[in-house]
Amino acid sequence: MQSKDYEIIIGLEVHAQLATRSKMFCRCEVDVDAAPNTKVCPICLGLPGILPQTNDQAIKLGIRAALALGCSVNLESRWARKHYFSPDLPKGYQITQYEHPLATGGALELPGMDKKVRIRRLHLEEDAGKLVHSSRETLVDFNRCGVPLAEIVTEPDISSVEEADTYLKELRLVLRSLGVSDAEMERGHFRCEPNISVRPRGQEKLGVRSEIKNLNSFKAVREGIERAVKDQIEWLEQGEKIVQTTYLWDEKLRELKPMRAKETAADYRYFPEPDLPPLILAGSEIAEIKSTLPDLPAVKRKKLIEAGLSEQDAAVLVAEPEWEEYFKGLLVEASASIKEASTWLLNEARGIMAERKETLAEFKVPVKELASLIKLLRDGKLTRPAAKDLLAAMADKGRGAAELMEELDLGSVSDEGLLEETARKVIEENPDVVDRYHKGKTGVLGFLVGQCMKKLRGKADPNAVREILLKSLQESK
Amino acid sequence: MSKLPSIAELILLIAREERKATEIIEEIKGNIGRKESEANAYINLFLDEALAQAKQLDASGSKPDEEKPLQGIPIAIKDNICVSGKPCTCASRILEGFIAPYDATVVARLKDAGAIIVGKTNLDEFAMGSSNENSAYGPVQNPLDTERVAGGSSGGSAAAVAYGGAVAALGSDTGGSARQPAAFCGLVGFRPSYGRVSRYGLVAFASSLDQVCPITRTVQDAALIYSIIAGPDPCDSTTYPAEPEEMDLAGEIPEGIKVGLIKECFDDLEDERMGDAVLRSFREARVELVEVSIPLVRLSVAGYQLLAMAEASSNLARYDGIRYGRRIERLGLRETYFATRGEGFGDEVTRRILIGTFGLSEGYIDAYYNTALRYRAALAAEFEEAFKKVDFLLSPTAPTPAFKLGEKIRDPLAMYLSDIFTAPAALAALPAISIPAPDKVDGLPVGIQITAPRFADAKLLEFAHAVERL
Ligand SMILES: [Zn+2]
Repeated sequence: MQSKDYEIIIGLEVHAQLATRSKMFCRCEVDVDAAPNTKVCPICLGLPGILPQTNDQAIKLGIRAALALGCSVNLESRWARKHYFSPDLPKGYQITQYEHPLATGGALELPGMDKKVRIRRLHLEEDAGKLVHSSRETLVDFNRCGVPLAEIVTEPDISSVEEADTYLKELRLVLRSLGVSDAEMERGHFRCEPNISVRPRGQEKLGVRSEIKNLNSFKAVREGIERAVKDQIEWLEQGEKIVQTTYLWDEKLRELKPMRAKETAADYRYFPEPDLPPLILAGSEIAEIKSTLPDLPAVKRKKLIEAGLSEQDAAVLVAEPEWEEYFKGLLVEASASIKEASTWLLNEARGIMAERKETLAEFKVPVKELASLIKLLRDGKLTRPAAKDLLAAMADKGRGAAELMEELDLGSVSDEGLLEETARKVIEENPDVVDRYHKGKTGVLGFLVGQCMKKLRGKADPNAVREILLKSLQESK
Repeated sequence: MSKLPSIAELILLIAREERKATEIIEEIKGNIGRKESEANAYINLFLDEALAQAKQLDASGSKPDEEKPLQGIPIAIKDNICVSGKPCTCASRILEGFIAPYDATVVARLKDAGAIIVGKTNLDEFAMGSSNENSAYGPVQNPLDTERVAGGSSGGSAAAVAYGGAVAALGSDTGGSARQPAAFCGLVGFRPSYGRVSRYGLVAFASSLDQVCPITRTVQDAALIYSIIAGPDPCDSTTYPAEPEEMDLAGEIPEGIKVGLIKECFDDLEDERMGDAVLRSFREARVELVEVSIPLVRLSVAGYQLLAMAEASSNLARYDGIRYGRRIERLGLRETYFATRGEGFGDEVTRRILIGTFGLSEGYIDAYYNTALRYRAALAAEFEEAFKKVDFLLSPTAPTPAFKLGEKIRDPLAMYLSDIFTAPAALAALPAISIPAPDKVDGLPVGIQITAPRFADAKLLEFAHAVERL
């Protein structure tokens, strides 16, 4: 059997670190990269006698994310304790939300895929600390302990690696564009735990789930899911019994390692957190947050496409805030049309950056200078090919458009005498063509313009050349 | 026994310059020297520090005033309440070496009011017990009869105040842990409404039941300490947001007060003298007494223990020897956990963690924890009904006076049953106070427990103050 004979069913759990200044239940600064155990207090260290205090900003960000994902925010949600023993979990339990999450029932549309992934729930919780292993000992850093997280859980609606990848990227984009999370995967702001099952097409009964933890990049997510799917299909083919297993992704070996059953068969003994009253929200509070939501990426893309951008270009601009900002800069500085701006930024400049292996931040041409290049071109002071050369030189040297154009002698010939003389020469040298022109074959004009441009080494505005040529042809009749 | 004056009396003595702060500390020191080795009320004493503070106060001539109502008043703190820079043992081996880096809110408020902290008092390990025999630091003896228990879990606080080792003390009460020792030692133990007093810095045993409580010689002292420690605290999200009401301890029992005798408590008494001791002054004062039935009171120990053990199993999960306290190092993390927790906790604590863990585990949580929650709601509803008919409810604080050391320690169920009259108010989040009855039974004090509707703390103190003077 082929893999197309199988149906893949994936659900995703994402933990996104909320972009708050302080932790979820104490007022310690969120800075996981600070020197170990310097961003801690009795509360996040779980010392005897401490009590948690909720962070309003984290709750607001959670509501923002929930609303953007079309979830209904529950007017009453509750805190719960989830118990397990781990040196990085100082209270022996994590404060989370269980039976009564912050929000339920949303959906996220996958761009370019004509598919919606339903969101089952979004809830708030605190992060654990970090274990730092060396060959001799294990140390614990509690800086991350108590950092606010939103856990976003999908329904098992995802049916391929591509969909999973697209969902994650779109979700990340939504969270970033809302300012809810920095969502940098490599820095652990955005952690994904997929659960995967496979069943023969047409079979009603669900397959057995594999869960994967420790996926630290989009690449790892793809590889991990691919691997799990492949394994499951293989086992099904061989008629092996599949046992529900949790795997750890081994980043070095790039493979899945099953966790010991002991580590996964946990009874978390959830029960209501007695130290925190239920989280009660007012409808007006939620409405106010809703009114401050910016355009979501999907809406932004739609608007750009309607304004004339290709789907791909729109996707780039919306995905990368710096690109969007640069783009908007061109529209303002050069009064550029959407078309001009997209050509010069998304085609030409982007091509040069790709060649030079530069990011936009490293690109040496500021908005102002690309804008002046566009203006020079528009005013006929540059030809299109010369403009491309100029841009490449600007990117290389990091100098201004006008200055470099002059220096490299890329400016168009605008001396009318020279243009007229060139036209006359071309007419003299091509009597046959001129003759055909006069007999009505006006199509040959392009050839003559080309000849002129060649003589001028491309450094003239083709429109100007065309006009002078027309005038000279008229005279030569 | 050298009886210390009450706080109220001391304040007057200091104001009239008849007593200096240093003299009070010296007096306490003397009492401790004579009594402490038997009573074992303290786990840690800070007498030198206390004396130094007192000297400073005397030198500066500062006296109790509106801003510092407790200026120079020596107070003992139960050793499950954090005092910054001092060990907080909870009478457990597992917290050996732990120094609290912060003040509990109640301690900070007492310090702000000028109180001098003289020491940390003994208790049942993590406040789990009714006799103060479950302590890694040894049992507390009742200063009134050294063969008997001081009660628990705040036995050390009660004993210290009883023998003159402190003018007043803070205890904590989860199911009766302040009221019962107060009753056993002839003192006043006041449990405020849940939410009136911040729990921040009180080491959690059962979070939804724990309250910090004054243990004092008089109701007036209890009211004074309560007025200082009560009120909303941003550090404790379960505190009630409104400031406590003003009190007027004028003394008289207001006209038309109706007091309900909890039928089940009096019916179940094995010794009639207990009931008589509780009721005599009320009968003489011609307070209107009516019998009120609260049938669910009879199940209170079961309901209380299920909830308290479940919460305890969660609250005590943090003691793993990783960050503080005592670690018993073994090869491997799990082995270290097992050794540290296995050896660090005493038998009663271990028993409660095990039962509590079971009560919360998958497949059992409905039968145990959730059932107990439903019981709790039903019990609170019965109280609410009762308070439609009466202003206060009355019962003995405990079924018996102080029992003998060793009498119940081998029989956990018998021990748990000594909470049967105190657990109900805790479960229903109600304020309740134990005051000494004028009559003794077998020469031992008997506690009168008065319970009021939730947040009627001020009314309760006013009434108890009047009853105390009958
Ligand atoms: Zn902190």
